[in-house]
Amino acid sequence: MPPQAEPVLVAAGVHKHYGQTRALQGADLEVRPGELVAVTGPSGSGKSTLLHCLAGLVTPDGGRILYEGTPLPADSDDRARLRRRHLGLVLQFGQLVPELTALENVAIPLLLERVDRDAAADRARVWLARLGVEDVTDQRPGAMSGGQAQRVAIARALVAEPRVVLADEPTGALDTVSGEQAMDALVGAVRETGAALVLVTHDNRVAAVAEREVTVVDGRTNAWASER
Amino acid sequence: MRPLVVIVGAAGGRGRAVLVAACTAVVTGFLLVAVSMLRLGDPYDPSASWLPFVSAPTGRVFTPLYDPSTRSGVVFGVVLMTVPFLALLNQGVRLGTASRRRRYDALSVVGATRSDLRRCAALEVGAPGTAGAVLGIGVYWLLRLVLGTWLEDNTIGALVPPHVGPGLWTVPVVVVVSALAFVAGARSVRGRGTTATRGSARTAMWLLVFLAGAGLMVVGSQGMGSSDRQVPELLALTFLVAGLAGLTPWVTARVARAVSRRVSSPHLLLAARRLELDATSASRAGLASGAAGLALGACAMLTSEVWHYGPLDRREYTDSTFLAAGLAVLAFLLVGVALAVHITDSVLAERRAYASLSATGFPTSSLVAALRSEALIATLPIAVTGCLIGTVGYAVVSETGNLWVGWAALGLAATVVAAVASSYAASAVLAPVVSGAIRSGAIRTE
Repeated sequence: MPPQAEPVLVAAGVHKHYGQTRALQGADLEVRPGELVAVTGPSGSGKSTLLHCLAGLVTPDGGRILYEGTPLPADSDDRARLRRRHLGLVLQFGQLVPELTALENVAIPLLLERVDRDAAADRARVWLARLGVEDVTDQRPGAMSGGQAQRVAIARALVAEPRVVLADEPTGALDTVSGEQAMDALVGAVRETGAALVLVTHDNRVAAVAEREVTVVDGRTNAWASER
Repeated sequence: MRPLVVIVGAAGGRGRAVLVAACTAVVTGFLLVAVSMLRLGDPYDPSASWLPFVSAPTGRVFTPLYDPSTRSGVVFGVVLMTVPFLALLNQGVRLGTASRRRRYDALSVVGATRSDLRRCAALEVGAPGTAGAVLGIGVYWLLRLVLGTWLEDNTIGALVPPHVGPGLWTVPVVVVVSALAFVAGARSVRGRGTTATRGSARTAMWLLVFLAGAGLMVVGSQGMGSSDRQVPELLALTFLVAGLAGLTPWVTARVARAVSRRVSSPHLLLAARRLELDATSASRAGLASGAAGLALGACAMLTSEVWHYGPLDRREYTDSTFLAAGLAVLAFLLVGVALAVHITDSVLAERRAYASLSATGFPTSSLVAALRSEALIATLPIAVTGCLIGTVGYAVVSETGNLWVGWAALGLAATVVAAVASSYAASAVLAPVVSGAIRSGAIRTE
């Protein structure tokens, strides 16, 4: 990983209010290609809001979000397109569409890009196998364990080979063993593709996999982000 | 403090209660109209009438309502008109299934028995249903005023007998509808609908009913006088409609499976998979489109027959037929609303999954397109089948026995257009709610 490479994703002086609640008050974050960044902080500190701003899910009230030096598009469909091509998203739980099989859930971002159905299925199968969940290929989420569902969700986030993966408490709803397996799968897959990973967590063991840690307190990122 | 059953019953929400009451009122109104028509009996043989006979006004024999040869069809049509409202009522009963299940699970934890839960559920639907059934007398009165009294003096003629009721005979109808509302509520405690599978005993039974109806229609049309044929024809039609109704979940699931295996469009895939997983709920709403399609097919053929016989009394039949066709198109829109209620409810129950899908780059517009496609898959095949039954059935039982291709095609085209319009109505209703529900707030960590 070239440490001085230009950042691929930047949050600069981001503010976000929900009514009277100030979720972010000038948060800054730079994510360089291929690096693993943990965003930690106490509950309600604004770390998830920062991640949602980075993903273009939430529009900041102030500050800027830049992807490859360009502000995120104002149009929500354009932001959706950017996410499915360049930003993989892994959430805490309940992310898979219950009516679709694991294979279809993973293939959806490719089908949206008009990839041929068979080719999309082949690529989805490859990712399910990489994450060790090929045995649930034709199962629906209701028939999977929490850990399996989370690894399928990781496969969905990575199938388009995004430049940045944004993960919001990806092990928060899993038991210790399943959580460790899911984290290993996520980190392994990210390293394999060379994508950057932004990992929001309040679990120090999970944060330990990152090369850099940024702490959010009261909506502000600290100035003493630690390099490992 | 209010009794527990009332507290839990009221937890269903005001919107659901209003929807149930409104649908029950309209269903009761239509049923009262049908009963009032039956009271007209046979003007040529009053002693043969089933109910206390009320004679038709002088000079009004040649209208669909007073003509004994068409009246049974009109009564059947009025009963069919209740189907879209019953579909909407069914969705109203099921509204908020996920939160209701959580509520009842919580009650079970503290010791509520299944019969306790059934009582709560029965009251949740039965109380607004009873209110609606009583209001149905007002709906009937309004229909009698608009489609009876006001139309009696113009060329169309009354479509609802303006000189029958309301009387004591309305009470049994109100009581029966109220009781059915309580039963529907109690049954709603049971689990989620499941996909009908090929070869299941129930599907085979409904297929037999459907085929029996078709056979009866063919046999009944042979070698009988026009008055003798009415009973077997209506019986055959009833069998056909009941068979189609029973087969609807199976047909919907099969169509959905066929679609899901062939498409590469993500929104069509999502639509088909959603239907495959739970065809029963959507097909209950879709079923009403079969009834509306049947009405459109029959209307097209009735018009073609009236045209065939020349200009005498033509308008007295065609005007009311066009009105019935218009009501069938409105029924399609109502089906769209019923489907919107069901689809919205099912998406809200899984809002986190859909919010996550949206977050990963699945545009909201694609999700709305998927849900619109789901509505179309649930309605179009059934509507077209209903239209074909109406068209061919009418041709088989009509005096002339002819099938005019041009009118049949017009009926079919109108059915297809109405089904597509119905799916757009569904997406127009559900889009704002679904879009709001899958905003990023739904994926926040807990």
